[in-house]
Amino acid sequence: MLKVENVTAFYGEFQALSNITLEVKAGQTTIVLGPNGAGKTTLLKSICGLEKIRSGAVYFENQRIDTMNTHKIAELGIALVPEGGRLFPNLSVYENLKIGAYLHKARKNFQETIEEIYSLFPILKERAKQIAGSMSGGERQMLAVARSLMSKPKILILDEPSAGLAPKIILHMFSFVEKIKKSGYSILLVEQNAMKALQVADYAYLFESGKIVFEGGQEDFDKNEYIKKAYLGL
Amino acid sequence: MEQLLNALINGILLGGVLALLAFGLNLIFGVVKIIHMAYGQFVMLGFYIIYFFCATLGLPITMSVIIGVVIMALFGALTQLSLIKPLLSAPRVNQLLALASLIIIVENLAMFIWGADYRGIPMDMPIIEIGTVFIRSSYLFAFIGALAVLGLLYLFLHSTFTGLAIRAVAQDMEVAKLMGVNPGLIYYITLMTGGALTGVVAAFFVPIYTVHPHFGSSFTIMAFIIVVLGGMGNLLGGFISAFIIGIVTSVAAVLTTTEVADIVVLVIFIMVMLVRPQGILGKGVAT
Amino acid sequence: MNSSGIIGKIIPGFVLLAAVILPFLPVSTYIIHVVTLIFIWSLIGTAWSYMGRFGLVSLGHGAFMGIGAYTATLLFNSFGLSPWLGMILGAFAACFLGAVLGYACFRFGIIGDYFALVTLAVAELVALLIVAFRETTGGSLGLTIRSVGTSVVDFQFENRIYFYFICMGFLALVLYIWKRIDGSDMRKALAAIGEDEIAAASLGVNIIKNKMAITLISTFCTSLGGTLYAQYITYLSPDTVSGVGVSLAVPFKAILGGMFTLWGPFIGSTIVVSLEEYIRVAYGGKYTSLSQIAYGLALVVLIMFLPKGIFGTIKEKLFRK
Repeated sequence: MLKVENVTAFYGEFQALSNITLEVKAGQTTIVLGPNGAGKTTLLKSICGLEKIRSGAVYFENQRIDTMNTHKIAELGIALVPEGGRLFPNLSVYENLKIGAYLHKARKNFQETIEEIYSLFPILKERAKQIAGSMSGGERQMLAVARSLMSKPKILILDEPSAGLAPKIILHMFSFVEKIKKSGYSILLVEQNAMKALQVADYAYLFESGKIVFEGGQEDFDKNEYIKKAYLGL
Repeated sequence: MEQLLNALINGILLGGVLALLAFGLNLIFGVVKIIHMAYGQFVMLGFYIIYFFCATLGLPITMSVIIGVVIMALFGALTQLSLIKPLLSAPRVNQLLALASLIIIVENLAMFIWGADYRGIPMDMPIIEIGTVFIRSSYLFAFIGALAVLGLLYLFLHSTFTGLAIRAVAQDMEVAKLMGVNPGLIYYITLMTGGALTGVVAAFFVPIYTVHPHFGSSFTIMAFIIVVLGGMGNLLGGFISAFIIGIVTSVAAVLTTTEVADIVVLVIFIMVMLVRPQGILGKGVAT
Repeated sequence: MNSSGIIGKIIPGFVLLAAVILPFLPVSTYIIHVVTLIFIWSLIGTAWSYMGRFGLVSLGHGAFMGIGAYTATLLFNSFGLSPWLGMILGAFAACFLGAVLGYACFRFGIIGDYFALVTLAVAELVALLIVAFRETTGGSLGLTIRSVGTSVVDFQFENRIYFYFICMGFLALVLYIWKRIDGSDMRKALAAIGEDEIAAASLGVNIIKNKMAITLISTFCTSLGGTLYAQYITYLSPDTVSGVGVSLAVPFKAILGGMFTLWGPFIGSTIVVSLEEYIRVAYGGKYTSLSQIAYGLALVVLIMFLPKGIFGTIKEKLFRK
């Protein structure tokens, strides 16, 4: 569904990505693991058009998107939940969800969709009028994911959803990811928390310094001793 | 004492129109993050356009106003296209100076077409007497009209998807793009709304003032003061601040002279800036 | 190739030579007049750039120019005080205003847009005050310097050439000060502050002291320019030596030439003043407004296509090789 082919990207003079090729298959959950500074966020920004790539190409449903504007890419059904959620700080919970349904095709079913979201995330309905900036970390992350779901995307991209969250909340977060996964969404998930992420993965890539150093399914990761020690703490 | 009361009331009434002015400037700054340095000059241009269609061409005043508002909206779009868009990534000072050059261009455009004389559309609007207070109906009309327009704008910003998109872009453009919002389109809508508002303010000014090529400067500065005092980009702050400035200007003018009133406002502005630069409702000092 | 090599020495040397010789060549007095104006505006533009190049963008330098102009003129007209002394007094007065304003701003961390708007407000305030005290200053009608013919002490010369060389001398002084600033520790400190104030502070750089220093120098020199302008033109009004218009015109000239370079403001002033004069002569009088519109449009176009200024862009291109 989403194909990244031989992409190289720079952050100023610094090479953030070197010849990255990866794929997210429809209906699957693909994970990108790696330490800080490995290029994971650059990858996501490049996919969404927030940053321009130096060379290579990105395809979505066989359409080339790396030259498109971000809002056009969103129209295609790609939804990114940025790191930290990045809610609109002065908008209420309701308004954050509403803007999630900004796309014309999403607007039509807005009322229906928001009821669905409220049933998935009842606490959001409770806090509907609350200003987003005043919520706790876990709630904010939840709202951010809910907001992206409002557009009924074809693929949901999550940038480190567990970052800065307490362990109990992280459990919550990943159980949501499971739920979303079960609903049939294609997911691209970027994480530092390798253990939890691998549990929901159909396929995973390991990034280091802008390069893919390993890829495979859960079992492949489990079998690899180096990875187990370095990333899984085992 | 009655004079003071009069000044207070008239100040509040004028504050309504100033609030519109502040709204437009705040909207543009909030979304595009650039200060429209010639906003008062745009109001002046709107005035001249209404004057042209009404006094020169003889069209009815309402139609002239509508045409004026539309033309000023188009000027807003033109500003976005020719000045703001090309300079979005330019150094701050270049942006400010390029927009400031609009002051020269618009003022001299007015001078060239209409000369230095004062122009106006004579309108006989009655003065309402309530006890010992004299209220100019032109002021009252402007006040009510301004509040009505502000009400509409509030509804627009808070009930429509486009209005929501504008507020989103003002808060975080990158994420707004992720939601599918086309920033270029939002910029145009913002500039056109800001432009249209100058036409509306001009319309309310028509029964009150006569216009001349330097008419804009005092309003440009006053608009800056109101907007900064209220917190740049903060619509509510601008609203409150407009009334404060309206009252201060009006009362000071009665207690001393108009000239001194202008100086007093400037001094207050400078002092407030030094003590609380983010204004009444602003958050932290933006750079 | 670096700027202190061939280009850096020969071209300014040539320019200096040309400037010195010019009045003795058979050129019209009008040209001398225009060049004198260029000297004055370059001086003020360079003084503005002392602050501008480090991120302290002031939109209110008209205030300092006005103080310099009016102080010297008023003291001379009323008390016969030599304008040379008046110039120094005016410069100190401008300095004082700059110090108060600067300290208040820097102490409270007012920078960027806010700093620009505060300085703009101050310029407008000074202009309004000049108009308000019309008994002394002549208000918006302006003030003419009492003429005493030619007198060195009174800074008046019927032969304009003297002004030409005096202004050139002051310009040379201001340019020299730029060079001295360039080589000083203050420059390094200010560059660091301009890039990242918080980081600079954590490294022990005294933010306020450095900013104040450059502000004092800048306002002092700007005021000198204001006095020079008044003495040369012999007529001053709030619109021509202070206020918002002048305050915006000064950075225009500096930025158009390139405010980060030594010669930038000079080149910018040359172009703008020449442009102004050309339009005035070719179309002026009847078409003053039209010419002003053309001038405004030209400024916009130049700012848009040459963001580093003309000289700044040239310098950049040269160093690419």
